[in-house]
Amino acid sequence: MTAGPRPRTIANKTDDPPADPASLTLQKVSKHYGALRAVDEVDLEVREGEFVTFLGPSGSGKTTTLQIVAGFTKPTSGKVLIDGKPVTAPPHKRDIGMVFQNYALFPHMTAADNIGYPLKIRKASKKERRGSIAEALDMVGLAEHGDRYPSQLSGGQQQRVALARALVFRPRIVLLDEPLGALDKKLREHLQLEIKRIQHELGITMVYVTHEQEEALVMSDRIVVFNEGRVQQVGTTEQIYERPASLFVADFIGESNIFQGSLEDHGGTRYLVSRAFRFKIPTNVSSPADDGPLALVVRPERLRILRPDAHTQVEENTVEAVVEDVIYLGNERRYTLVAASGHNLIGRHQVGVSSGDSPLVGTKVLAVWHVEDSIVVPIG
Amino acid sequence: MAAGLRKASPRRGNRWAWFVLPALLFLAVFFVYPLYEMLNRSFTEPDVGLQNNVAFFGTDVYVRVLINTLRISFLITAICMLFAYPYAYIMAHASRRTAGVLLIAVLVPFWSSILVRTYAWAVILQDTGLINSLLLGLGLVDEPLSLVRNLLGTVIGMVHILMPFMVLPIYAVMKGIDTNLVKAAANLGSSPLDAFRRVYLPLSLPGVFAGSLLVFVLSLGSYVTPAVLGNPDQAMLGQVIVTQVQSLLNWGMGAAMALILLLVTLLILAIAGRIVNIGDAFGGRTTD
Repeated sequence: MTAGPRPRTIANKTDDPPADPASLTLQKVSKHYGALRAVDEVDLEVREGEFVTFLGPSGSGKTTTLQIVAGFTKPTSGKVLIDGKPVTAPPHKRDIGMVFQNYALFPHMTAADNIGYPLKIRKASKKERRGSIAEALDMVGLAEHGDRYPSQLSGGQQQRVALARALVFRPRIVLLDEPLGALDKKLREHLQLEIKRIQHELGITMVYVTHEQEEALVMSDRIVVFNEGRVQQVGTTEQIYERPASLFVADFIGESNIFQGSLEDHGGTRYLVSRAFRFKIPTNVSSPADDGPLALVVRPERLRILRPDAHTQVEENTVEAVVEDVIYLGNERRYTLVAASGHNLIGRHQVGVSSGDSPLVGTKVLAVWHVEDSIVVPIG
Repeated sequence: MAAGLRKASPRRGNRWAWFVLPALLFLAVFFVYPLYEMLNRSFTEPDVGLQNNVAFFGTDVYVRVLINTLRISFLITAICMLFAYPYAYIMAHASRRTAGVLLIAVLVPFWSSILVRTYAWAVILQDTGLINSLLLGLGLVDEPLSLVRNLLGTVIGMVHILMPFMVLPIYAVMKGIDTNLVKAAANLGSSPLDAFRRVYLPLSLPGVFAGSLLVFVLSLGSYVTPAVLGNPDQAMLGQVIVTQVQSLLNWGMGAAMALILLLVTLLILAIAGRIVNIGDAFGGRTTD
């Protein structure tokens, strides 16, 4: 995964109480459609200048939450606060920028007129408008395209115009609803970094909705993982990946090897046990309140694949397996293993870093990981 | 329409173009030939020359009829537009069920003959008709209102008949407007009314334009409704043509009038074509 450089300064404060008043706060926001809880008691604080991503599968409530912030959807209950003040104003009085999934550029206006629209509404003088439009076009790299109509622009260019339009009136917060969903991968990656750069330059607060975990990891200071209308976890990209709060989060973000079992304690050493296996787990894992089942998650890059007779450490868990497939991806090799217990395992090793020969398909191997690399999460 | 024909022409040797041949043959035999025949008569009956056209523009009554026809058509178009725009808007933004009911309500008139509908209006609007009996019965008026055999009757009947031609093109265009555009306008600071004025209205205008063109052109050539519901002293050109041909057997003059009506219609289409792309207005796609 090629993550771009991320400013960590804001993100690292996550666990501290917020120093500044939150730019955007959601308090127990819910939206119910009959029995369906599209959004269910969402609590969230977004700080000034932060880039927060709502990540989740479709229908998880992330877009509805964004629509509530923009004012297009009225919450069933709960409050939205901007700079500590509750907002109930209609959308046109909220001063929040928004970039829509399908760009929503006005087809009867040129790119420049689209960008100038919010300024015109705000009664900026013609001269002011011209200056701001030129600046905004320049910022998104479309200085030469101001007189084109949306239909004369490519998808990527249209998205840039939409972005410029959402930024030109200097809103405090900009919402982006899957803005790159319709673009091809290469362009998407390019625009991800560009949006990030602009956000950083302007110091603007951005809330970004996506169902692409990779996009979320690349762009965000913090990620809010949604599922079934509820917030599953809020954290920095590292926290979400390294310390997922639930099996859903572990499974949804990144690839995972998952073993389900129950906790057992033998003389201070803790194990996750099922009929098929018995793995040591980190000592700091506490028993779930309801004594329910747990899942042990190992990230593929933490899994070492060794010869069956290899010597392993006490602080390591081992699984006997057979190599089912090896895929060479240029920068890494991806292994698919079938364990004796029947579990399917995935390993990923960077080419040129891992020493030794690559095991061949059909050979017996030992899949090994360090106890401390075990992520234990509750199921459900 | 003109744009449709242009589109169908076999450009770049499209072999499917042959499929328009039957339609073209049909038009040639049953439209172009009679048109030619009429053109011919207007200049040859009773004598060869421009005498019919000279007589038309030299006769005060005829010129007044032409102006009257244009005026009534314009009025009908304006009233249709006024009713149809909000109707189409509600239809385009209502639930699917409501939209279906509204659509059927506007299409039902299509399913019965114009003559039947027109006489039905006469029955409803006449002095002893439904409306006047009701008003008299309730004591709201002392003597029957004159609702028919005048301009009002013509307009009521024509608006009813032509409403679908205004509603449907507007509805089609409105259906194609991305709802996110109005949201985007609101997000950028436009009040609902402002968003409508700056974004929705301009985007829906092609539909209004298409509908107006249809209604106006159809009004120009109307005959049955003004004949039954209108004031005989304020005849429209269609009525006068019928009188010329049927009562006076003056084919030359009738043909000349028909030709003038046709030219006026073409002129309007030509002017309209300069303002917007007619193909666009009727839902034809133009690619850049």
